[in-house]
Amino acid sequence: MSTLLLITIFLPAVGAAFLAAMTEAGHKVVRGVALTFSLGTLIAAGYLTWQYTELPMAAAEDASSTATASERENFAGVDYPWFESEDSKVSIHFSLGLDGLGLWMFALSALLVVVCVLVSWEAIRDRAAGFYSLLLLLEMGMLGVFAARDLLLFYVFFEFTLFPLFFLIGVWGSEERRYAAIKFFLFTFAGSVLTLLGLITIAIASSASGELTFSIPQIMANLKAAPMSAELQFWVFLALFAGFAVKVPLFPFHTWLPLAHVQAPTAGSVLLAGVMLKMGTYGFVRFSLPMLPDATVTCMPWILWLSVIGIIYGALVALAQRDIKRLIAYSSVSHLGFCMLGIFALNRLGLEGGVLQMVNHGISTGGLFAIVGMIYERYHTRQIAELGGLAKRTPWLAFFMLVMTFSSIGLPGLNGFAGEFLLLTGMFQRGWYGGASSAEFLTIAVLAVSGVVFGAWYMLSLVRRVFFGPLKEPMLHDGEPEVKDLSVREIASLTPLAVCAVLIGLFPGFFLDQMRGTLNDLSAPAMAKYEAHRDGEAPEVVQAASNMQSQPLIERQ
Amino acid sequence: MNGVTLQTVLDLIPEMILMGTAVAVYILGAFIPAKRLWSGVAAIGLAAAAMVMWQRPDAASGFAGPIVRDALTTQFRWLTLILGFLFLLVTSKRTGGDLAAEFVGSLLLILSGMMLTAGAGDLLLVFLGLELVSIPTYILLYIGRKNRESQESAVKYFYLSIVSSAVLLYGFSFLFGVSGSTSLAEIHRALIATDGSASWLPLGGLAMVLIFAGLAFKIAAVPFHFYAPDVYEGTSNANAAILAVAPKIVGVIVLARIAVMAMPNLGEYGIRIAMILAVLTMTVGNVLALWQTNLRRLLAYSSIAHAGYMLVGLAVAFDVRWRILTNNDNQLESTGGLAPVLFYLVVYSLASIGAFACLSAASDEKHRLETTHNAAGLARRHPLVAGLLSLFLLTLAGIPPAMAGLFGKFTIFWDAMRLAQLQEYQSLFTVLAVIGMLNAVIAAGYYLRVIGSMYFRPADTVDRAAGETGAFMAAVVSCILLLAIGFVPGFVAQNSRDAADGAAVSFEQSLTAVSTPAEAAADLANSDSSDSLSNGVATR
Repeated sequence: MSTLLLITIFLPAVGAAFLAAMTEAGHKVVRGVALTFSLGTLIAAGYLTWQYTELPMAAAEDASSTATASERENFAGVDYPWFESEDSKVSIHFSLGLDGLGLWMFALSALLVVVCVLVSWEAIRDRAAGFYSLLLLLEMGMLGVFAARDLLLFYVFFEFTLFPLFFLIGVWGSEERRYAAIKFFLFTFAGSVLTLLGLITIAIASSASGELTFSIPQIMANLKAAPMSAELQFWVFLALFAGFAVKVPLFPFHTWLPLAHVQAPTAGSVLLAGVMLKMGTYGFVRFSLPMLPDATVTCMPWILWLSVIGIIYGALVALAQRDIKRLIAYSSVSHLGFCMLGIFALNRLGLEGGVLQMVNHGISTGGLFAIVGMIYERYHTRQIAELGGLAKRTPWLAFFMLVMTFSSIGLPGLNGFAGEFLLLTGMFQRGWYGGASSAEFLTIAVLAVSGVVFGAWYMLSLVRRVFFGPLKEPMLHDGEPEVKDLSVREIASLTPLAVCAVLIGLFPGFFLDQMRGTLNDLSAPAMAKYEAHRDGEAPEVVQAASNMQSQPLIERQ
Repeated sequence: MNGVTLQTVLDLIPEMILMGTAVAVYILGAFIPAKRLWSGVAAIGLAAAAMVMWQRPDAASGFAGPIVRDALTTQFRWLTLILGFLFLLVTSKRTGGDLAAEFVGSLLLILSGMMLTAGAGDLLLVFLGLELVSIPTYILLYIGRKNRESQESAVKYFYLSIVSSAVLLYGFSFLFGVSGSTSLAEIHRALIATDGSASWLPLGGLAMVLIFAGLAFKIAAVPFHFYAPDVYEGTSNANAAILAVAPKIVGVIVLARIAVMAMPNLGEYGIRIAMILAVLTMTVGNVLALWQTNLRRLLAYSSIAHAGYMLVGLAVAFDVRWRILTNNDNQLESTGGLAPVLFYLVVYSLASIGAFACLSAASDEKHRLETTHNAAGLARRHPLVAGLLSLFLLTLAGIPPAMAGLFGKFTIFWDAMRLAQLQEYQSLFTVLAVIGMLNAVIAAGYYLRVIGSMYFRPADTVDRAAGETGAFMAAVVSCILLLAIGFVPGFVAQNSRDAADGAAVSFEQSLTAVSTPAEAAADLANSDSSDSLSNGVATR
């Protein structure tokens, strides 16, 4: 498994090198090579995921199952020393492995890159070798982020994703691409340099005695034995927050996102929305919750408020958009607010819902951006006002649009519902057992629910205006081919996403079970802190609450 | 300068080979005006020096007469030789026309000066080495390009360099005054022999300030940076590459050897100076670079900013030495701060040479690659050069996939953050690290602008420039070395740690080991005289 994980992560890099060497080849050859490598990576990633789900489940409360738990923890572990001093005072390892948190995002990244190659099939003809080469490099970075088990390695992959996307936006983007590319890079880079300082501080503080290490499992163990002081945690939390909140993007830090999304080529938008934004939420779950529990509890109300402001603000701004791509970009701000809300509800329901919603949003918004790209390829416009009644002309396109829209607004039976229901239940539960700040949390939860309503409003009105009603198409220029419905290739690119949306919608229990063990481990410190921090709460009720949480609520096989 | 023995002479053979080659080239160049020949001769000279270094590896024998033999010396002599080959490649085409021999000879003298400085254990020899780097630079600048800007930049550099040498010498004289010797080992011994209350300590502080001022010119630190943008812009790419690298290396080495290592109990002054200069240098360099359109001017400001990052490491190193001297409960490695600076110096040197080489490799008489505007569409005309230049700029910015640059920044700020966990300067070092990191973002702004110009903008011309093969080769070699450092950082990291450690060990050895009774007696006499002298200075 370890070797397979290495292959999965570096196969795209091999493909990128291969493509970089064939700059003279036409785009037809190049796209075939890119598809081969991305499919190979997807198969490898899929096999890894399947192997992980085959592992025996570790029941969280069952003490006798430690053996199986460690089997899951060490799945596909890779560990090589990378930067080590002789006296071993600094050790940075090239250390990789999959666990329940990264698993689904890892698989989703591999899937979305294949989708990206397919949607760029005809659109990218200029310097195609460079385009696909950067796309594969981006894939390597994304896969690495979700598999890294070393603080610095995580940061390296995290930053590594910036420059391929910078070029993808800057070279193959729309009119304002240069400004968008540089703004995207500088915003995210500005946040993440502070994240680096935060990660360094975690490593230093956690290994104050004994060996200094960047290994994430080691740091977790060290911090369990000797946690950082609350004050230091607070500052480190802010440093991590700087990088992750920009990436998510949380409300006041979102200004780079619509610009980057609108200017990026379709493949760039799909990966940006589908995977890159989740690196922020992933960072919060991976580092902030387990390593900085005190600060997490301190900052939790603030982050919840920012999330809920983002949910409503994003939805309202999306409602006012005239450009389809811009609308979906703002809907991402709103949806990522839901993810953050779930994660910082600090209970199991919310966390599981939030993490599941990360995957869901990747599927639905990735699909929506791909569909916008297909509309743009046909009509060369993204203005809602210039389009109408497309369902008559392109019924397949309309079908997939409806599936993705329903998935995005959380129609029961599709993936969005499972995630949103869980995380909103979690938030209400947090409000119910919120102690002194119960009212505040309930207010947040109610406001968040209103965000769901807004979400349905703007998405459905988009679908109504663009796909239904009388047919309205922009004038075709001379010599342009007649607009056709989706080709087999395009259907092939959207079908896996639709299938995933249905599968997660019908069997959320299966997907949640795979991450439950890891999430419990990661969130245990912060939840324990929260329980301790909350006042005016009878212990029995806490016990009842945690009993209730331990039941998987959604089981509808 | 006492204790010159046959061994001293033997130890300096590589330097002497370079000087001898230079002299031969100077003399014969007057008669044989072949342009290419002299680069070849210089390469042979460098190879011969490398052979001698290989055959006679330096014994880490510490201070011996005017020179010092330790890991720091060895590593930087090797680094100088490697960079020397790169310089020869960069300059292979544009070697000053009829004055090719003079150009190559001066380059060789600069290299021998760098090697001499790396191994100098005596103030006089340090000054000699520094001047051996400076004076040939004036010639290089003068014959580099024949126009008004070039002459102006040469004159500007000449005057400012002289002033900085004078200031440095003035600082040395105070150092001599308080210690009574020009030998660094003696100075070190004299300084740490006193407790903190000695009345002449402020004079030592004055020496520290003056030495810092003199060397700040060499490393182009604010407020002694004003010459750099004008000079880089006015001169050729090859000269700019030499100017960005050679003085910075010797400046940092001398700061490390004298200010950090030899004057540990004046560390308090050193920390403050280094911190203030670091913040100013990083910020001024990076912010002013944002407005530049001339590429060499932009790289000049970037080289100023990089001096700032190195000063962060030096501030950490001062603090570490100070802690080791004062309370001995040091939780850091003794090389803290200094080892990352040396690592950074290697990465910075390769990336700078590579960047300037790329500018040469994509321009000729008709198509100059001078401004960001010229760079538009470079990715179409010269895809390889554009790719290489992007990699060098990303290295300077410290962004993956240019891992070498990231490790350089990472190790410097890692040591700063470790100090921040200790008590005394906690908030200061954290602030320093945060300012450094925010500066990295500002820097990314202008590096990306250049990269964006090369890749995102349509070209204003479709003609390819002929370019310089030698410079292109230099860029390729730098690129390979940087990638190697990025993937296997351990080798350079370990060597720079050894170098920093070796420099510390030399001074420790010089405290204890006195080999013969005669020398011991001489040392005793020396220290006596130094005491009386310092008392004399203090009372005056």
